[in-house]
Amino acid sequence: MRAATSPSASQTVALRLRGGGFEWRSYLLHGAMLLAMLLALGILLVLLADVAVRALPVLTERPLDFLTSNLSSRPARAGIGQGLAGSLLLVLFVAVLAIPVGVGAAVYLEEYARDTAVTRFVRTNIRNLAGVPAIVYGLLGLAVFVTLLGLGKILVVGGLTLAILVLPIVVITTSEALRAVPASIREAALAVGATRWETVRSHVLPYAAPGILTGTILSLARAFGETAPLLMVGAVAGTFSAHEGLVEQLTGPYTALPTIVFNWAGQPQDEFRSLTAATIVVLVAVILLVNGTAILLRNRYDRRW
Amino acid sequence: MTITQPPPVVEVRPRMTIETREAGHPDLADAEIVFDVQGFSAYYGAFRALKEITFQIRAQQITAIIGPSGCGKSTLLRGFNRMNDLVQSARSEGQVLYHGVDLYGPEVDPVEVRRRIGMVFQKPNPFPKSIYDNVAFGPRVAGFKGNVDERVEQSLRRAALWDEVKDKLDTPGTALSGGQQQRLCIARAIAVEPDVILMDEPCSALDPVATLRIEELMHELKQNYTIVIVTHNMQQAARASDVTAFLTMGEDRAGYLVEMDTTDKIFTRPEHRLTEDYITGRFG
Amino acid sequence: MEERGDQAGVGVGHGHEHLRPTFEQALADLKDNVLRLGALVERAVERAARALVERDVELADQVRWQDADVNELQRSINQEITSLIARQGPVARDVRELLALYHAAAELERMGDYATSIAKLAQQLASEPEEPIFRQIPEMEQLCRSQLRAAMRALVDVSEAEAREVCAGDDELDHLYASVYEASIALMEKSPDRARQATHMLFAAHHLERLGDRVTNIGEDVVFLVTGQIEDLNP
Repeated sequence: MRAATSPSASQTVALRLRGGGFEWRSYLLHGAMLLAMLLALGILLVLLADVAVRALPVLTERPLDFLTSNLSSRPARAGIGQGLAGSLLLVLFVAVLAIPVGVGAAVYLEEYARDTAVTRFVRTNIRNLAGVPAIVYGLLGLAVFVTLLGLGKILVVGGLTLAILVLPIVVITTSEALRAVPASIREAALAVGATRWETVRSHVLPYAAPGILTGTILSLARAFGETAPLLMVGAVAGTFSAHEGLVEQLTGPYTALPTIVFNWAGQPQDEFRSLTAATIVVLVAVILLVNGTAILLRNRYDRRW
Repeated sequence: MTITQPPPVVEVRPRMTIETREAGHPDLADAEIVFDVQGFSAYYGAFRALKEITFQIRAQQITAIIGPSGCGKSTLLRGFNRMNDLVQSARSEGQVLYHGVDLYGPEVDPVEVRRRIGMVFQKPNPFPKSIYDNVAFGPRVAGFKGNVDERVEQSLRRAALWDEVKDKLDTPGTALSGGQQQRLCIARAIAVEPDVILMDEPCSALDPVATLRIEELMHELKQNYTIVIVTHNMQQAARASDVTAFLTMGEDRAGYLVEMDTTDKIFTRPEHRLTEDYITGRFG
Repeated sequence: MEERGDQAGVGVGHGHEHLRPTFEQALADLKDNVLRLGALVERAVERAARALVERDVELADQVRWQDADVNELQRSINQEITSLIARQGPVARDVRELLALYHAAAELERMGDYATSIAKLAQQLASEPEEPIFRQIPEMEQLCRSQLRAAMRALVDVSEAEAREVCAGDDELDHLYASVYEASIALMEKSPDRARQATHMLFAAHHLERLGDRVTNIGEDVVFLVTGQIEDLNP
């Protein structure tokens, strides 16, 4: 059988390689997807621009004063100082409580627990809990911490409530990060005579650390922006006097940035429009910063391996 | 006419290698028994993967386990260092006596077992850490109090890797070539000074040159360690091992031992037709 | 007869890594054993011829007993070669070398048998009235032995040229045999009562001539090893 192709055969091949013509269908689809993306982006940008414009007066006139002043019923003197302090402490609380517990739970579920009906049930439930609306956690906090345990409407309670809220997220993201560790690494460590804990501590956790870190930071960002649960457990929506020491801050009345937004958005005076917008800008800025850090850290660690 | 040249002085007794001794190979059969497997069956849930395997593995020899895919060779190998425990549905019957102690006895700690019986895997799996840390990990978790640097160097020398990495012990183990990575894994296994080294198809992911180097390395290693290797590369089993065990799958898909003898016997005049068919490539 | 354990013929060039030292060592040991076999055979031939000339019955006995050593060594060489072929998967030069050694060992064993036959003839001659041995017979024996040594050297050196020389040198052996034939006939015609001795001597010379042919076969084996071709170098 001859290997050479006849002229017409090679022509056909050349034609087929060049394609059948203008593929308008794929270009149409391409265009539609692009439009969708631009729409989504556009809506977001319009919202942010609207807020930014509204915030301009306050941010340009007295930015530092705005950031450090206490709450006040007089718009010209109102600031988010107490809110910033409150939010910061709350996030700290969440970090100290939710992260160890969440990571520990995930390590247990992924590395130690046998696959039984009970563990499968637990896993499913944790996933469900991650999707429960935040206000439900607020109700939980109110019922258990404020009323049942009688702790009152203090920052500690707010911290506890937010910690419970983000706990499922920490567990899930840590689980994902642990699952991404190749089984061969575990096998290699165990085969050399390491115990489970030595394997987890020396190999699994370091390998999963970037993923765990990213998940943790994202859950803290989430906690930073939650409003409804804080309102339910008694973050102050109005004004209160400044605190002196740390203990007072923890056990006295408190507020956070989202609750300040909630409060000021409901005020009748026009000036509060600007203040609200300015608070939103600060809120969004912090969240963007935190998320950006998470992405940066993840990229940096990914490249190492 | 007289003969003027003196008769040449010759040594009459010929020098015989171990392979030229008669069947019965006294040396191989005399060595100390390391593993005494008695009626060992392995299950994954209800599925029986191995059926009543009975044989012995002796010290300072290379024992190869060959057989078609899926016949349970890896399961058998992992039975020797309790790695099957990692699979939840795995269970076993029968005995695996290691120097007389049943590895599956209730008082036996799998972690201790794995310190004495090391393993090298099919795909090289060095830790994503420095070469030094790779080798030092085992001794550290074993509570080694001596000079870690010395132990690392000794292990890398024995794995024929020292000369190539001695100047870059701090670089990641994952940056080495495939053959080097596998030798690093061997060094890592050796570092805890085991008695036995199990190898699960150690060369199947490597190129021919790297494969031959590891085979020569095995030959050196067997002076100090007992080696059990699972391979589906028959030529490798023929070249490198002293004793060969042939497993195959029955109709119930459980693996069973067909024949086990010196490698010389298996590859020149096996007893069983099934063995001969397999090694001549009549079936796989 | 030299015994060399060197790697001559195993072509690993400078700068190349020896990847299969175990196999190379096994080949070297095997070659050593074949050389030893050659040495055993050479000694047997020398002694058998001496027993013939000196009418030494005990020496002839020794030669016959020691043929068992020759057979034993050849058997073990066979077994080793079978094992190496089965286990090491040799190709190209390696497999030709193993086949050449296998065949050479077989030829050497047959040569050992010829030496034994000559020893038996020596004993028979010793029981007959003495008759001077034809001078060609010791000449043939010396030539055989030097041919054998040259063939072994060709094997060690893996030298086609040396092998061909050995094969060419067989002609003289054939001439000497023809000459013994004539002398034998002449003796039988001149002294019919010496017919037995003449016949024994003729047979001895015949064995030596056949021995020489076997040596050329070894030469052909060496040529095969080098070129991969089987040539008839002793037509």
